Amino acid sequence: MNFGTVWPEIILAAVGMALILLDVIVPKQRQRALGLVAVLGMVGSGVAAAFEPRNGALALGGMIILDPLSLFFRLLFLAGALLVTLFSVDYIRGKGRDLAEFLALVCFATTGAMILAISWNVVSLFVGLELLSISAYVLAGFLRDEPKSNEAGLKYFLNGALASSVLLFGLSLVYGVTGQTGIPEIAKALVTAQTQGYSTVALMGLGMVLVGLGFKIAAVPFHLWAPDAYEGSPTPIAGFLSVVAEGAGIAAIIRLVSVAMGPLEGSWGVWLGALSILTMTVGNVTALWQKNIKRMLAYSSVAQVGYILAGLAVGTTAGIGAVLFYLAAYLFMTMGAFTVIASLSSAGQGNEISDYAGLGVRSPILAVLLTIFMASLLGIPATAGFMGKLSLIGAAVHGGMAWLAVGIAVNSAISVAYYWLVARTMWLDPVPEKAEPIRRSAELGAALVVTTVGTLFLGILPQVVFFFANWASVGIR
Amino acid sequence: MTSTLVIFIVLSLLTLYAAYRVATAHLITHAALFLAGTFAGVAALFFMLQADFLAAVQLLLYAGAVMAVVVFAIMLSQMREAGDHVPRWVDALRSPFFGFLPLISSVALFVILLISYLDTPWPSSATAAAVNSTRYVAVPLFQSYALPFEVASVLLLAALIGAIVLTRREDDR
Repeated sequence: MNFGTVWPEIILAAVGMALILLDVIVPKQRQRALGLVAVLGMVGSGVAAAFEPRNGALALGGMIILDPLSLFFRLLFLAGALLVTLFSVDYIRGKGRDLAEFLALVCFATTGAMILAISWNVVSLFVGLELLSISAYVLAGFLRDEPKSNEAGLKYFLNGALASSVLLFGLSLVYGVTGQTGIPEIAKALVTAQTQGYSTVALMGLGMVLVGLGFKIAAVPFHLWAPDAYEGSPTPIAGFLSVVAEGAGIAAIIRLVSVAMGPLEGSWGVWLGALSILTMTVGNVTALWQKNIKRMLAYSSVAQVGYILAGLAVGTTAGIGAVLFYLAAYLFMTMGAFTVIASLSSAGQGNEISDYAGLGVRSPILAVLLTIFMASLLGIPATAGFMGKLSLIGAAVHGGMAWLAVGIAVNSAISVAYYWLVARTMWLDPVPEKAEPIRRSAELGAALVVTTVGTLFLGILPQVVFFFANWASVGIR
Repeated sequence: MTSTLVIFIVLSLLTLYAAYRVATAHLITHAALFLAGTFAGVAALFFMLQADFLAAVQLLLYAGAVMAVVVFAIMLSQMREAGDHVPRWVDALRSPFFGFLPLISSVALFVILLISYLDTPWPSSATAAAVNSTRYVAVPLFQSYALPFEVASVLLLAALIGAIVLTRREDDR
C-alpha cells in the first residue's frame, strides 16, 4: 500500500488539522498569520500534485487514477481554495468569527473535492463527495449570528443530504446489477447488462445518480436551494460553492457519466443536452428579476452550469476539453466577482444592486474590475468567458449538436440584460450622499490581482490552458 | 412454507411496525425506543442472511452507540413531547397544501422499485456464504478500500469540528 500517490491530499488534510492546533497557540491578534499557513499548505499540495505521475496509473488498490484529468482537477480545486483563503481572512475576522476553524474546514472540503476528482471507484468517489459536502454545509452556515447564514446552511444541508442519499441509492442499485464498484468495471458490466436486456434497475440507478449529481451542481430543476445558499453564505463561501463544490460535481459527472455510461447505447447525451438548455434558460431568465447581487450571481452560476453541461452532453474529447477550459475560466471570473462583492461588504456596503450606485466614482478600481468579471461571465471578446463559450460552441457544432450552440448563443443574449443593469448602476447612477471611500487589505488585493490577470490571460492567450484541458480530456476512458 | 420464511416474515413485520411507530409516536422518547427496535430488527435480518459481522456491527453501533447519542440529544434538548405538533397523517392528507403529494410520490416510488426489482434477473454470487464473514469484510477494508476508510476518518473529524463550530456558546472562549 503506497500512500505516496495521495501526497497532495495528505498535505492539505494535515494543514487543516495543524490550523486547529495553531488556533490554540497563536495569540488572537496574530491570527492573520493562519491565512499564510493555509496558503503555504495549498501551494505545497499543488507542488506535490505536480510531481505525481500522470500516466493513467491506478493506485491504492485501484481506488484512484493518476491521469492528466486528476492533475487538472487537483490544481483547479487548489487554486479555488487558495483564492477563497485569500479573500476570507479579512471577511471572517471582520465578522468576529474564528478564522482557524473556517480555514481548516476549507482545507477539508478541498481535500474531499480532490479525492472525488481522482477516484476510479464509486466508494472513494462518494466518500470524497461527502467530505466536501459536510464541510461545505458548515461553511455555508458559518456566520451563525446571522439568520440568513443559518438559513443558507440549513437549506444547503437538507438539499445536499437528500441529493447524497439519492446518489447513494442509485450507486447501490448499479452495484446490485453489476456487482462492481470500480468505474471501468461498472462500464464493462453495464454494456453486458444492456445486451442481455436486464437494464431496468441499471437505468433507474443511473437516473438516480444523475439526479443526485444534478442537485449537487444545482442544475434545473434541482437548483432551488442555490439562491438562498449563495445569498446567506459568507461571500467567500458563495465563491467556494460555485467554483469548488460545483466543479467537484462536474468532475463526478465526467467520471461517472462520461466514463461509466459512455459506452452505453442510447440517447442519454440528448437528455443531458435538454437538461443543459433548461438549466441555462431558467438560470438566465430568473436572474433578470434579481435585486440582490449575490442572488443574481447565484442564478448566473446556474446558467453557467447549463453551459458546462452542454459540453458534457456532446461528450466528445473536444467537448470535455471545452468543459475543463470553461471551469478554469469560471474559476477566475466568478471568484473575481465574489471578491469584489466581499471587499465592498467588508467596507460596510450592502449587497443590493442599488447599493452599487456610483461605484465608478467612489472606487474606480473595483468598479473596473467588476465590469471586467461581468464582461467575462457574459462572454465579451478578450476575456476568459469568451474563449470558454467559443470552445463550447465549437465542440457542440463539431459534435453534431448544433442546437446546443444555438441555445448558448441565445442565452448569452438574454444575460446581457442583467449584467448591463449592474454596469449601468455602477457607472451611470448618481453617487449616494453618505458614501464612504473603500479600503482594501493586502490579501484581498492579491486575490483581485490573481483573478483579474487570470480572466484576461485566459481571454488573450488561452493556448496554454487549452493545451492542458485538451491533454486532460484525451484518454479519460 | 419453510420455517426460515416464517421467521423472515415475522421479523420483517416487526421491523416495519417499529419503523412506522418511529414516525407516528407522540412521545419522542417512544420514537427513540422504536428506532432501537428497528435497528435490532435489521440486525436480525442480517443474521438471517448469514452476515454475522454486519449484524454484530449493526447491533453495537446503531442499536447501541447511535441510540445512546439519540438519548443524549433528547436529554439536552428542551422538547420532550412532539404532542400536538405532529398532525395525524390523515389530517396531513387533507391539508390544502398538496398534502397528498408525499403519499402519491412515495407509493409511486415503491411500485416502480418493486416492478423493476422483479423485472431484473439479479446476478447471484457463485461462492457459498462464508462461515465467518468478518475476514471478508476486514481484508478489503484495510487493503483495497484503505483510502476511503482513511478519508472517512477525516470526514468524521470535519463533522466533529463543524458541530462544535455551529453550536459552541460564544462566552465559552
